[in-house]
Parts: sequence; C-alpha cells; structure tokens
Amino acid sequence: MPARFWMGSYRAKAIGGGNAAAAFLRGFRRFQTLCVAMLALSVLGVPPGSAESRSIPAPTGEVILTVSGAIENTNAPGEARFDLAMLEALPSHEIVTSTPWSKDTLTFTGPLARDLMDLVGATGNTVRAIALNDYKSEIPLSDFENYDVVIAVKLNGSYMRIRDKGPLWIAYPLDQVPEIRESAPPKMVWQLTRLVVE
Amino acid sequence: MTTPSRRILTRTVIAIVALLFASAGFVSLWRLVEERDRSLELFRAGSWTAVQAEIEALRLLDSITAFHHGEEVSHEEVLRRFEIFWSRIPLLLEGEEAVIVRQLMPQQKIENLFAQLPRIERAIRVLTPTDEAGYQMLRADLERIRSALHDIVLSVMAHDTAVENKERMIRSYTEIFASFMLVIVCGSLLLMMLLRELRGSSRLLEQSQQAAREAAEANRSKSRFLAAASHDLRQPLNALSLLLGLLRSRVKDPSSEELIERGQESLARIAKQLDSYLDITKLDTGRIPVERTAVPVGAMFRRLADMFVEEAQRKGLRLRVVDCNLRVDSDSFLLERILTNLVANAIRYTERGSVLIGARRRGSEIRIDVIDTGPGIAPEHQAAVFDEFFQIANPGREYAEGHGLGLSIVRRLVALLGHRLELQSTPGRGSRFSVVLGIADKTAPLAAPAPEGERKANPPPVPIAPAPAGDAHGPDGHDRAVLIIENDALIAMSMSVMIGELGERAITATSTETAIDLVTEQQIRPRLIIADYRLPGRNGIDAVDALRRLLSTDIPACIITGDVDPNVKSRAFERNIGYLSKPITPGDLRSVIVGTGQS
Repeated sequence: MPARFWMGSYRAKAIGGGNAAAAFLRGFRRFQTLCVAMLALSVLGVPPGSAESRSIPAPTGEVILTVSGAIENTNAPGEARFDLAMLEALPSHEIVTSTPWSKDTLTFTGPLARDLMDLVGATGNTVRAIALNDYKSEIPLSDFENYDVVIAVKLNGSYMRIRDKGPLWIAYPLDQVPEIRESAPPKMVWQLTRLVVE
Repeated sequence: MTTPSRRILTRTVIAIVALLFASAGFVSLWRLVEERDRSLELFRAGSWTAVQAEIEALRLLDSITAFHHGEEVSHEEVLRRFEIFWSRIPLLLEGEEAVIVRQLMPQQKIENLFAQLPRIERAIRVLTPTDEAGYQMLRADLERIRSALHDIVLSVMAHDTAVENKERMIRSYTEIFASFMLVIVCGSLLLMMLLRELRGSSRLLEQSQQAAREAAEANRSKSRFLAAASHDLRQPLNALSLLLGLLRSRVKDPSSEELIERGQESLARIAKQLDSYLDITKLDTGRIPVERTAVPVGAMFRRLADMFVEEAQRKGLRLRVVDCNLRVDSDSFLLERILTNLVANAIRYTERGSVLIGARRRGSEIRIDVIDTGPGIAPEHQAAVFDEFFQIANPGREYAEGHGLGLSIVRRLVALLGHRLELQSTPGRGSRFSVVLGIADKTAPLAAPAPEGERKANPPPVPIAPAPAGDAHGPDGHDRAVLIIENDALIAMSMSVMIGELGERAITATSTETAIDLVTEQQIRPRLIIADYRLPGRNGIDAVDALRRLLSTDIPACIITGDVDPNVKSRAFERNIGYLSKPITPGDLRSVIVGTGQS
C-alpha cells in the first residue's frame, strides 16, 4: 500500500549512506549461500532441477496461502495450496523484533520463507505478496536467501485472527539486521493470502 | 606594523570564518528542507493510515449492503471485511505512521472507536439478510465510525497546513535566529579584522607622514643651525681677517709678511667654505632671489678663464675656453656660481691634460660644457656626486680643497634656475659636466656688466650719501669720528685699530643705547656710523635710524652683517645705508672710509 511505500522511501532517503554496506553484505551472503549450495551439490550429486519430482500433499484444512507463478511443485492446477498444518510442518523459526506498527516487541513464529520457496521449487527472481485487502508488495527472492524471513503463523505464540493482521504475516528480522530496518517494513505484508513467483 | 605572517594568519582566519559561515548557512538550509520533507511525510502517513481505516469501513459497509440485498456476498465475507477493518484501528493507536494522528486527536476519540468494535462485531454475527432493523442500526453505527475516521483524516490534513506550519515556523525561526546570530558574529569578526587591517595601513601612512614631517623639520633645523653656526663663525673670522690685515700693514720683514699672507689665504679659504655652507642653506631655505636676464656667455667664459688660469697653470693643466657669442636666459650671478663650481671641480680632480669650457647650440637650447681629462666617475657614483659631502674615495687627496659641497650647490642652483644638468663620464677618460639652458630672447634685458664673483660687492658696497658739510662739527673735537656700534669687543677693537691705521678716529659703542648715550651726553657728532646688524635689543638699521633722528642729519652709515636675509639689504638701501658682508676685510673698511670722504 502506498502508505508503506512512502514510509519506506522516506526512511531510505533519511538513511541513504547505509546502502553501500548493505549491498556488500548482501553480496557476501549470496556468495556464502552459493558456496554452501555447491558444496551440497558435490556431496549429494543431485542436479539442481531434481526438486521437480517432489510432490506437495494436498491441503486437508482451510487453505490460507496459495503460491503460484514460476514454481515447479504444485498440488493444484498451476499453484501450490497450503493449509495451516502444511506450513507448520516445515521447520519453525522465530523472530523477535520491534515493528513500526506496534509499541511492543513482537514474536513471529513460522516457517522460513526460503524453505517454502524450496518446497514449491520457485525459479523466478521476485515474489509478489498479496494481502487480503489487495495490498501488494514485490519481494526479491534473494531476500529469502539473505535473511531469515519468516512466514509467520503465530504472533506472540498465538495464531493470528485477521483483526490481528493474520492469518499470515511476512516477518523480517528488523532488529537483528539493522541494514533492513528502513527498507523491509513495506515488504512485511500482513494478512498474507497469496504469493506469486515471477 | 603588520608582519607578513600575521597577515597570512588574519587571512586564514577570515577564510575559515567565511567557510564556517557558508557551511552553517548550507546546513541550516538543508535542515529546513529535511525538516519540511519529514513533516510532510509524517502528515501523509498519518492521514493515510486514517484514510486506510476509512476505506476499510466503506468496504465493510459495501459488503454489508450487498449481503443485505442478497447479492453474492457471504456472511463469512462480511465478517472477513470486518476483521480487516478491525486490523486497521490498532494502527491508529500504536503505529508509527499514525503518530501525528495521536498528536492531533484526543486519545479518547480513537479509543472510543475501538470500544465500539465488539458491539459491531456482535451485530454483524447476528446479521441476516432479512433483518432490516439490525441492518439499519449497523449501517448507522458504521457510518458514525466512518465519519469519525473521516474527521480524523480531515483534521490531520487541516493541521498539515496549520499546526505543522506553526511548528515548522518555530523551528525555522530558531534556525533563522541562529543563522542571524552567526551572521552577526561572523560579520562583526570580519569587520573587526578589516578595520584592524585598515587601521594598520592608515597607521603606517600616518607614521610615514609623521616621519616626512620630522625629516622636513630636521632639515629646517639643520639649515637654521648652519645659518647660526656660520654667523657665529663669521664673528671671530671677521676679527681675525681685520687683525691679520692690520698686522700685515705693520710688519716690514718680508719673511713674516709671507707668513701673514699664508694666514690670510687660509682665512680666505675658510671664508669661502663658509660661504658654500651658507649657499646650501640659502638654497634649501629658498632665500635666493633669482633675477633673469640675457646673459652673454662669451663674457662669462672669459671671466672664468681669468679666474682659473693661474690655478690651472699651477697644476700644469691647459685651460681652454671656446668663445661663444650667444646669450642665455639665466641669472648671471647664479650661472657664474654654477660654472665656477664646475670649473673648480674639474681643475681640482684633473691631474694632467686639460679642462675645456665651451658652449654648444642645440635647437632653442644651449649646452654649456665643462670637460676635463680627469679620472672620470664610475656609473654607480654618477648620481651621488651631486650629494652633499660626497667625495669619491681618493686616499691621496686631502680635504684641503673643501668638502665636496661644490657639486651639490651646482645641483641646487641648476634646479632653482630651471636648467638641466648632464653628466657624461668614462672612468679613466674624463668627465663632461653640462648645463642645458634656454637661449635668451633678443628683447630680454641685458645683464649688468661683469659681476665680480661675490654678490656682496654688487651693488657697490657703500652707496652712502655724502656727509652734510659743516653741520657735524662738535664742540669738543669729537666730530668727524667714526662711530662703531658692535657688541663683539674683539671685532670692535680690531675695527677701531684698523680705522686708526687709516688715519681716522674711531669711537666704539657696544649697543644702541651706549651709542645714544655717547651722542646725547658726550656731544659726539660722528661723521660715519658703522653698525653691526645684530645688536642686542635693536638691530643695526634701527640704531642708525635712531641716531639719525637724534642728530637730525642723514649721517653716512654702513651696516655690517653676516646675515643672509636679503630683506636686510633692501631695508638698508631704502635708508641709504651701506652694506657689508662679514667677514669684512681691511680693504672693505678702507673703501667705506674713503668712499664717505673727509669733508
């Protein structure tokens, strides 16, 4: 939503100087990830495209997230649908951080975004995150590699109602990675309902 | 005094201050822009958060209406819309973006909104498409909430221009005030430095002016001192000259006579030297009258030749004069002084060869040359030879011939007359001193014939009126005496002895008062008064006036003075009083005595 975008742009303007360092760190992390990936490949001897064959089980409960676009693994025509249990089946991660939307520190719990992307076999560069109220945000896939971005299913230990900005909330570790403090909030989509990989 | 390093320091400080000033201005401007941007963003974000809530309220209203009218909107959809709407309200209370809303709106108002949500939720949950009353109430409630949200939007937007403007203005004022302070401080600092620099330079100017004034004053006092000193020196010299003359007339032994003559020569040289000091003084004090006439150059050359031929012969030099029939526009006496000095100088410094005096016509000008085959003057000394007391180092030569004042007198005289001086000299070959001056108009008055070296003899020394016959006979034979008024006893004595030698009787008085006493009490009737000009109390002319009045006759009189003031001379002439310059010689005295006759 424009409000967030403006906010973000304002902060980016105010900070400005941190960009070079951030880019360097991001590049370094990307390099690290690449090294880890190649090491894994050489050990396992598995070609990158092998995830194709992986199948995703069909959701049994209420579908709360739909992933579509450039993905290789689906459980419905052209898209992968997830219920709460499927998301919780993925390794859980926790982010404790302050946010611009609340006075208190928030605890986000849920799977890592990159695990979800691995699961669906995302091949694109960006993810369009769409909220219940049609708010959209473009997120580079690299964000998920560089930072431990969480698709939060729980806030402060409880499942989120829509009025609590649930059921899903994309959470960035704002307090842990100061360099994204200003740029990440517009990408922290709440009331998340759909991801489109492009 | 501002030293260079101090000036550099001052300029550095000025540069730093200017830089500080500029950066302060830039920073304040930048801060203003940033502040404006920030507040603008704050208002946009704040109003947008409220707008978002209002939009969600409208959407909820829409979906409720659609549900009520049995359109394809499920009860779940309505509930979800309500949930989304609800999620917007906490942002107004807690969200960073709505900070301005909380600043502008009472907390109570937003909390009121929140308090209504559970009631609305209940109403939605029990809502059925057919429940008209419930629908209408819900709509009314939601409409109230929506309009409350709209109020928030409007008030934030209104405050955008009102409150925030005020806040911004306060901030701007602070910054403007700070800038002004800075400007004032920097400006005054700059001004101070500038003033100090200016004051420094003006002080420098003042100092130099003061120095110039002091130098001029020192020069004047030097001139006064010289005048006074030469006057004081003239007194004993005068006496000595008279005494030597007396001695010579008494001594019959030829060898002693020669000794006395040598003494007289030395004395004459001292007198001459004294004259040149006086000339310098006169020239410096501007008391030399200039009398321009058409001066015949040829005649002047001949006089010069007569004057120097003997001296040249003594040194074994050839003195040549190239005749010339031109007349020049100059002062004959002063021009002759110039040439005399130049020729004397040439002869003095030339050991062998010749000295040539000649003139050369150059258009409307004439160049009078004095050429010698002397040692010449090195280029670096050529300007300095015209300075006082400058003599090119010459160990073999003694100062017997003077102290190098000749050329400096020449320089002053040439400047006084408006002529030009040229010097061309090659070391080892000789020198040419030239005076360049204008040719005289044919109609210009002719110069008086042949002035005789010293101006004091021109006009004639004693144009004294003949003594009135018969009137001056005193009863006691005191008449026909020569009355000498002179406060210097030595001079008075020597003069009276001198006059005695001439067969006259002399009576001396040391002051005007004594002289008046002599006339009134002793019935003295002098036939001639010789008075020193500088007398205690009254001057010599006044003394003569007083005596003449007392005796009711124009007794012949003569003033003796070492003063250079031309006024004295003219005043003396006005009263028909003779005039003699110190040091007076026996000859001078004789001509006065004889000139007045013995009736």
